[in-house]
Amino acid sequence: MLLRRIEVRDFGCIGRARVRLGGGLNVLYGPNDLGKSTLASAIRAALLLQHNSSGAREFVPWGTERKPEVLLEFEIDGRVWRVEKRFGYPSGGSAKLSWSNDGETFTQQEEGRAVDGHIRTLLQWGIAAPGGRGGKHGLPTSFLASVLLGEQAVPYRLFETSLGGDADDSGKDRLAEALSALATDPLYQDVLTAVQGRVDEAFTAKGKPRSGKASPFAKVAAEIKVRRGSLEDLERQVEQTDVVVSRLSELHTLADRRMGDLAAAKEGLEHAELDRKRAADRAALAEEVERTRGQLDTLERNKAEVDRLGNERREIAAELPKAETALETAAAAKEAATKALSQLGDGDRDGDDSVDTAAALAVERSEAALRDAQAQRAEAEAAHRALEEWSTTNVEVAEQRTAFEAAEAKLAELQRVVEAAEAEANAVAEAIRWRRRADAEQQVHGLEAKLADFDQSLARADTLEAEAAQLRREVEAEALPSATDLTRFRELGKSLAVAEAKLGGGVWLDAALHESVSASVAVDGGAAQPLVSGSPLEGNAQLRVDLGERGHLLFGGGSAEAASDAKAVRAQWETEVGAVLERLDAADLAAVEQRLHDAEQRLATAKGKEEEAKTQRRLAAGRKDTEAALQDARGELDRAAEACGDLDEGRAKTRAADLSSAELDDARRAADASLERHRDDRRGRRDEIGEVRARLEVAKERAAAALRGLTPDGEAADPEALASAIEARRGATEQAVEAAKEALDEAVAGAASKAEHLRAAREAAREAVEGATASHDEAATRVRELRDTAAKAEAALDVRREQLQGTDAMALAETFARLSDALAAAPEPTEPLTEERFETLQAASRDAELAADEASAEVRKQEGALAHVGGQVVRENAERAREALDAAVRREAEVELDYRAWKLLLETLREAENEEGTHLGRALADEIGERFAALTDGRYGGLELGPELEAKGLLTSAGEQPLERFSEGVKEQLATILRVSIAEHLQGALVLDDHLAQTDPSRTGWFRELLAAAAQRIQVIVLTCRPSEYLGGDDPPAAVGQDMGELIERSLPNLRPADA
Amino acid sequence: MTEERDVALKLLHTADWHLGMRFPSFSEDEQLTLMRARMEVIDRIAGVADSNDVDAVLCAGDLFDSPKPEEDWWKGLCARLAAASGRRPWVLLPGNHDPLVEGSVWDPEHPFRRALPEWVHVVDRDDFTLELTSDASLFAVPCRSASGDSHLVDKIPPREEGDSSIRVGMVHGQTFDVEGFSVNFPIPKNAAADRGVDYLAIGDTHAFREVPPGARYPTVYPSAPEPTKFGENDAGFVALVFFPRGRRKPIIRRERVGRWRWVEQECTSIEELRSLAASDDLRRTVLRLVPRMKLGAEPFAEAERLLRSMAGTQATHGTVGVLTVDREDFVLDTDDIEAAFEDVPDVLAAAIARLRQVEDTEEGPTARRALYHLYRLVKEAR
Repeated sequence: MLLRRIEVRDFGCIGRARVRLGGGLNVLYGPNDLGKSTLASAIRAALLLQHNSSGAREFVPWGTERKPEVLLEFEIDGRVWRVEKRFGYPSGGSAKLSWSNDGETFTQQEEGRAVDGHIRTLLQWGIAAPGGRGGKHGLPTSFLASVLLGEQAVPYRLFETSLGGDADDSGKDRLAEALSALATDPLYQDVLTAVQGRVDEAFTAKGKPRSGKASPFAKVAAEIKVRRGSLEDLERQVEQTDVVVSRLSELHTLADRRMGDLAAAKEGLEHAELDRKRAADRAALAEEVERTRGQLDTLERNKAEVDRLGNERREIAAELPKAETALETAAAAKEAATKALSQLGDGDRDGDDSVDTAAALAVERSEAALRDAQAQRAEAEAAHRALEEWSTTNVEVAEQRTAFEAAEAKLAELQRVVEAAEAEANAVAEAIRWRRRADAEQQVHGLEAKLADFDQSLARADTLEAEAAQLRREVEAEALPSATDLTRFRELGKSLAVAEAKLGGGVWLDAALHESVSASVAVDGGAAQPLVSGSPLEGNAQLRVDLGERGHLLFGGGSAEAASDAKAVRAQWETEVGAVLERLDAADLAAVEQRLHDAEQRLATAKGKEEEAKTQRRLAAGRKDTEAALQDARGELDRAAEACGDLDEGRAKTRAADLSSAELDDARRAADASLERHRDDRRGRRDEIGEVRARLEVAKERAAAALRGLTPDGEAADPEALASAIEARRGATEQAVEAAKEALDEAVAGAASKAEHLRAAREAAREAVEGATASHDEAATRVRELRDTAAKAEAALDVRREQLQGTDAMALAETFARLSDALAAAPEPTEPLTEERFETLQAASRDAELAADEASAEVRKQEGALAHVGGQVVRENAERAREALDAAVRREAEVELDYRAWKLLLETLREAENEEGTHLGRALADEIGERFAALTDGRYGGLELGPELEAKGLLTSAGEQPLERFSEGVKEQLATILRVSIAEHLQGALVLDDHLAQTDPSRTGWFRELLAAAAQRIQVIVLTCRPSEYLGGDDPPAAVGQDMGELIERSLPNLRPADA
Repeated sequence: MTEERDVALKLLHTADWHLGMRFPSFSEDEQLTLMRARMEVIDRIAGVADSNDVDAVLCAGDLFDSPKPEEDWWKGLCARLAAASGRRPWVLLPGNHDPLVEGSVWDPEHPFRRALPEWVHVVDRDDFTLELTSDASLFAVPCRSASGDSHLVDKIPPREEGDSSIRVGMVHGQTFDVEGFSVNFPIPKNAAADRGVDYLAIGDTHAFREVPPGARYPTVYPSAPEPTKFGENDAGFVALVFFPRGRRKPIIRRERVGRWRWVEQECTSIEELRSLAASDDLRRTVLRLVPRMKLGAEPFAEAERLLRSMAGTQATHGTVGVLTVDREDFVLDTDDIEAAFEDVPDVLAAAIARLRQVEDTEEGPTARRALYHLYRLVKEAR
């Protein structure tokens, strides 16, 4: 820090004052009560007192209402700040803070209350922002404010304060930083930098774990998230598997029970069927026994018949000779009677011939007529029988037709059933096609959505990459220096400031010209102004007088070596930094740093976008596969849609509703099976119809044949008319026969009356003949009968014998006995079995089979579900996922441990550093001790200071002694040494206001050298009424003295008490 | 060895390729290495089939890890099968990991099926039979779901009276038959005898097993040709089956085809670890290393270097194919750690002292790791 200029107006006793200050040692001197201390107060007020503070009232000139005003220019880190305050309480005040890089042109930074906050931030003296402790009620104080701008009154009161009493830690931190920076070990610095780098990878500046993509936690945390999600999915599937397995186990138990029920039902039915079989077997055996018994009876009867026929044959054989004798006798009697009749017939032949002939003719005609009538009646009867045959056949045709129609009706019913089954099968097939198309559509939609997501990710990635590239191009186009370059520039800036500061200390020019000279002068590199006689000019480091063509005069402060160094550094600065600043159109390095910071931010943004783009591309990695899958799915959809064709959408959708594909497949199999069963029934019925039709055709053919028999021309005739005609014909022929019989009777009667006599004789003869013939016939018949009977008996006997010979009586008897035994041994039914009971058992068996089928179907369904949820495969996958999660968790723990360790190491290093570096008393102790020992020729040792520079005592040969025991002179000397040391470390300006009032001259010389040496590094402003102590001597230091009497215009010269 | 003329039939029996199986416990690169190994082993299987001039190659299920593998896997398999000799049939059986379901790789409409060479047969029906020689037939039944308790082997027709031919069965399932323990597609231990097959080729268990050992009608798991996890000790084989003439008991020989070993190993001393790291035969090993050691800073750092050399870096291959380290019992011994930090600045010495104090708290492991970090940094900086 460097104080450049102060101007005050109406400030305490000062009416007006303007003082310029240079680097190094500034000695402002003047007599007491001039206003030197007021000027120091003005500096403090400018830097620390708010413009509307009540504390400013003490600076209002006595007896006036004027507003004290102060303007102070100071320089920090190469930038010039100007603060202007007009104090007014409670109102009327104002404040303004401006800055400049060239010390000429200022830009306003703040005004009003914000001014003090900004200044305190710049100073970092441990004074809180306005509004806090030590606010506008008075002049705020802090340890460093006391050190650097301490009041004149009692300088050693400094020892009553410490950094611990500051309102905030900024002063302590600044001093600690300054002290520790000096003491930083390179190894420690390397370690700290490395550790900080590792910590920054994982934690924010506030110590929170980073959550961005670059965070080492993020990758493994993201992996764990993915792994955990995957495991949870798989565990859900495992749970589903367990549920299905459990359900399957229950269903297996149920199915086993159902199978047991089925087995029991079947066993019961088998028992019943066995009983039925036993009963049937016993019935068959009994029937066989009866049949065998019948065969045995037949055998017995055959034996009896053989015996009977044998007897009969023997009887006939005994009777036949008698009958043959009787026949011969009858034949002789017949011959005799025939001869007598023949003789009787010859005597009447002539007289009887006509009669006999006519009668015979009449009889013959009548007989012929009768034969014709009988023949026609026979034909009529034949026709009648044919009609009856036809009628019978027609009945059969009707029956067959009825059967055929019944069969056809059943076939039609079966056809309807088949059609219904076909309709069901078609409906299910349609539903399946619809479901396949719906599934394919759903898959296509899903894949299209996925593809759209991929495209969106890719588009997003393109956009992000383009944005990132643009950001990188922009940053690259700026061609900003690197952070290393910037650090070097800063170092160069510091070197330049130091080099040029060495030239400071003030130069002045007072021209006394005897004649007009055309010359101009430039102060400290500023703008040229005419050189005017009697108008003195002063500058900090350089005055350049331009004499036009005659040349120029250059006046500078400091040594020639310092000037050369400054020039060289300035040249280097202009070459390396100036060019950069010009190219970047930047006011200073702070602006460059800001732009560098902005660029880093943009690069970080670009990197973030690139990472995001990579993530988006990773997200879209499966696009190709999805595209292929979509193509396949679309192909599948096209095939499914083509398969749907003329599908009845509504019906198919309704049919498929609430049914899974597997259930639809089951339904299709069931429908196909049902259809096939009904088709089998229909084929059976059609075969049956074929048989009935064949029988019908046969019957119809027979009927047609019968009808053709009734109509010789083969033409079709009305059956009823035909029947009527045949009946009429039967009646007519019957009447004709009766008439012919009557005519024959009449003819016979006519012939009889004419030949009565003859006939009587002949009758007698004939009767004799007939008697003889009858006897003969009877005898012949008897013989014939006997012979026939004998033959028949013989034949019957042969048959019977043959039958007896063909029958194994013994075997038959054995068979009978065996069958009887088998019947006796055949098991009886275990219980009486009615047909109703048997049907009940059959129904129970069918029900049990149905229940078992249902249980098996449910088992298959659950097996299908088990296949769907994954079963053992998903358990294995879950196991792998669990191992992967465990591995990721271990990695996360390892990463966390690693970075927690880095963080702990950093914190520990910082704590150690603070402990070592922030014991400020220890850091300063040696330096102060050495200086004080030098001052006192080793009489005293070091000042014992606490960590926050609280004074504890002075080391003497008798040990540490409290400061109260020492003189005020010693204390002010110690205080001055402490202030100088601190100011040196802070590179701050030090204002000393009559600081050695109690010090004897023997030691002021030592302080003069101390201040002169310090002024080589910092600005020291001494306010004193004894300038000779600083400016005089044999070897005067590079100090600039200013007589304040010439610079201060007192406002109330005679009314204000003297300030000591 | 049986004379060639005495052999009626020679078969190569393999199973459980699990093409496409992922190994999510490992890094992406390691996963790819192990996944590709599962494909590469098929070439060696084909080589064994060629060198033994077998009559057929039977692949008993779980050839893919899922029924719908990614294209790379089925195309890769197609290419390898196409490159195999066409002198013998290869019979591929769907297992429970890759069951014969609609849309699966076994679906007749799947491009995999259309791309297969003619000598490759897929068991896609329950009554699958294939005449292996004039006197030998194969009967195979596919898995149609990922899980189930049906006895697939029951679908193999029993030997008919008077049939003296060689009958070979092939199904995928488990012979584990502990009462009350549900198994997938169970295979009774006497199934081979019951169904009248002279050899029952099965798959599922990844270790080589003959069930029961020495049976007249053997039932054999040939093992996974490359292991899939730690503990599969008898994996990495195929079964070569020689059927003597006259229907005598077949001779079974297991032949190693796998190149990868999965090993779990403890290490209890730095010397042991050095020896392990120096081994040059671990490049085809998946090693789960459990260091159980408490080492001082220097040997601890050496151990870390050895582990890095075994695992490899972005720039160098490791000496171990795939390495996973369980560090739970791998502990830095800090008893004499100060000796490792000689002549460090006071501030570092103070930091070390503070960390030593934290060691006694619940943050002990973190403090020890921090000490190790510091040790390494100081070592590198010097």
